[in-house]
Amino acid sequence: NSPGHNFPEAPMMFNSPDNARPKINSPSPVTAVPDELIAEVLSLLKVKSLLRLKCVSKSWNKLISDPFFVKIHFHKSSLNTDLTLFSAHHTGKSTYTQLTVYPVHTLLENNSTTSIVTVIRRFFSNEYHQVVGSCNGLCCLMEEYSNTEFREFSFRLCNPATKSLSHKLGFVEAQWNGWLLLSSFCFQLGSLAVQINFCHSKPLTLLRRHTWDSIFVLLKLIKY
Amino acid sequence: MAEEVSSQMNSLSISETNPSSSATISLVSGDDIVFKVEPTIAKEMETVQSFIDETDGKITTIPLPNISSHDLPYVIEYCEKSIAGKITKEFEAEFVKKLNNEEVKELFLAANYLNIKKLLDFLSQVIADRIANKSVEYVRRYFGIENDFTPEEEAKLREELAWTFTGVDPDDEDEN
Repeated sequence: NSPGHNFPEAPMMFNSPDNARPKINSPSPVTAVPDELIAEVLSLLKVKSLLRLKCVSKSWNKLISDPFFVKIHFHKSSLNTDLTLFSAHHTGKSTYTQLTVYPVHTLLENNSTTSIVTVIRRFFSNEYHQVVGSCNGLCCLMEEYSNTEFREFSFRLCNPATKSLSHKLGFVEAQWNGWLLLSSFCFQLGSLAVQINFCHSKPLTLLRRHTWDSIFVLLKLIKY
Repeated sequence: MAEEVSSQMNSLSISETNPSSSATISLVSGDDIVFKVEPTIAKEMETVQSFIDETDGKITTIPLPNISSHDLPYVIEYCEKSIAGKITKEFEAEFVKKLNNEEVKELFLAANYLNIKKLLDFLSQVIADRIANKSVEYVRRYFGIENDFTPEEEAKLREELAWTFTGVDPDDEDEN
């Protein structure tokens, strides 16, 4: 025996691994995984799996909704580029836009166009919406209301990945006198409040918390 | 590689040897099995290396009470490949193929304890891939998370997120 052996009441020597600790497969208390490691794993999940796991517990729900976590997830998932495809459908007098999300890497790995059609999933569809533009996975949609005297354009944001649609963010009116509306859309990632800026009106603030701070909808009315 | 130790943890946890650049490092698992590794392997394990550095290389036997003799060989294998620059997608696929989900979790915790960034990142991705299509109940059991929602709260949340519940794998208790 080794010279250090002088504790007669100590556990048995020559413990085999099986005696020394519960077998991996035997029912035993689950080893706790530290929160920061859980966050690390969750940040690698795709949006659909991630949102489902909000149902695990209150603390997971809180973590997954946390703006800081959302930001980390956004940066990691930006490596997995998705294309958002817009397609307009005309049914009689009305037009609606359908959005589909398609992972770019499958496009690159597979040039067969027929496979694209079958893989595409329909994420979002809403009647009467026109797409203004998209930026970092968010889409800005425009809704038009018109009567005989004026036209009103209102805006919403949608996130095809989470299938969420914002409330109306603001609107502009145009007289029926031959104006055409052109618009584009961008936003800045930053702090937690959303601001909608119309280039010709006061900024409107949206109170819901997000991870971007300024959204610009650029409108231009031109005479035709 | 492993040899049984004829003494107790208390007495073997720190044994001084003559400092020598070529001395092997003895890693002692939580169940008292000694694994002798090259110093370069120890360098991959930040926790071990900082322990060696703190003692100016005089101490070459490192107790790792949180790591079992079942997990340690995998960690050493990964570190050996890493030093040789042979971490390939093929190696990684083979490496985890033989591990069940519980073993992956044990290794993940070991990599965290030993502070092996590469192994930790790799296993994070493995776990993410393996739970991606699992049910909420499975994930709770896997991470030992207690469901603290009221039945009403949970039902409401599930209804809001109904579209995320398609394509979930059925739970398979035997897979572990």
